[in-house]
Amino acid sequence: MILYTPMPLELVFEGLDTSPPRTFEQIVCQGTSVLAEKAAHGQYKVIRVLSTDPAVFLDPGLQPDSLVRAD
Amino acid sequence: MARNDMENEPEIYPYEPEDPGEPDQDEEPCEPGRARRVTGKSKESIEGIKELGTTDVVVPKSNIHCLTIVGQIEGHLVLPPQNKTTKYEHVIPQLVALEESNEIEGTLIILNTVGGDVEAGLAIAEMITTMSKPSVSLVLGGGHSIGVPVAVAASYSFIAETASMTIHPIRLNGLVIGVPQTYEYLDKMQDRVVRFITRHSRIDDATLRELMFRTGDLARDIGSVLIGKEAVDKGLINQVGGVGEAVAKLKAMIEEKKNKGDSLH
Repeated sequence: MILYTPMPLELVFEGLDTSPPRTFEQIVCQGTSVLAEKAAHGQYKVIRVLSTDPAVFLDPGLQPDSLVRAD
Repeated sequence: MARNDMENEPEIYPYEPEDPGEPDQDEEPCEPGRARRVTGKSKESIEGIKELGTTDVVVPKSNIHCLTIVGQIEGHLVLPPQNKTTKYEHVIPQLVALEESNEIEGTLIILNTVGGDVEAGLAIAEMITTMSKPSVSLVLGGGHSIGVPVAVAASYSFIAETASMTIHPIRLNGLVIGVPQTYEYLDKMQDRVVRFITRHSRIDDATLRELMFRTGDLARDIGSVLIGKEAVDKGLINQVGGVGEAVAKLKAMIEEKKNKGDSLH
């Protein structure tokens, strides 16, 4: 992997080895499979949409980092 | 039509035990097949008027879609959370949806990126450039490094007067083995980027490489920074402009394509 950026790499990678590993869960949200990270108040943060329907990726409620609830 | 119905689905509201809620009077008159966003008021907008005195602006459905590419273009490695990132695994299917959609006729790409993964950036750039629908890119703030191929990938490109683009050589990160193959590999990766940019803009190979390997412009690196008009003068970007010009150009290109009929593809 090559990062092509004018930003200093030590800034980009800061905290990569010290931050706790993140755990993702596969949940179903609005009828779509979503890889998500547990957030506060029973909500989940969308990490990745697992779908083969391209239209789902335009859904404003399922953008990466948006907070959702499992079905 | 199936997608239309999906977009008109009411949103899911969080359950609030204290709130008795309003009777959903606006649910009834909304006929099937009519856009809810235009005809009715959502529960949220009524709450907005009551609680905050704000109203929703009625947004008619647009035939263009705006794709924003911000922060780092994230590739095969999930970057630490202090980075703002654009995820390629989400952007690529979005571009497929835009290409395939019957309602969307053009794409506006807004860039304010500090570059990122070479492969992810080139993948997005290749997707944009091979779309049959017109696309216009607008560089605001910055379109650095791998943001350059993404900016030139659009059918027509704009740069804000104050926006900058950093052109510099790629670097290897991680374990570097001091063998001639390492240099050759790096050179090949460099060529991928250079070739894409020269193929999709008016800049020639020699000028781009001169900008890329220039010394004395950047404090911590070799390369150069092009600001607004300079990027246009070097042939990298088509025109200096803002959002007004970019949307007008995109609309004009959509019209032009319509008039030509299906002769393009």
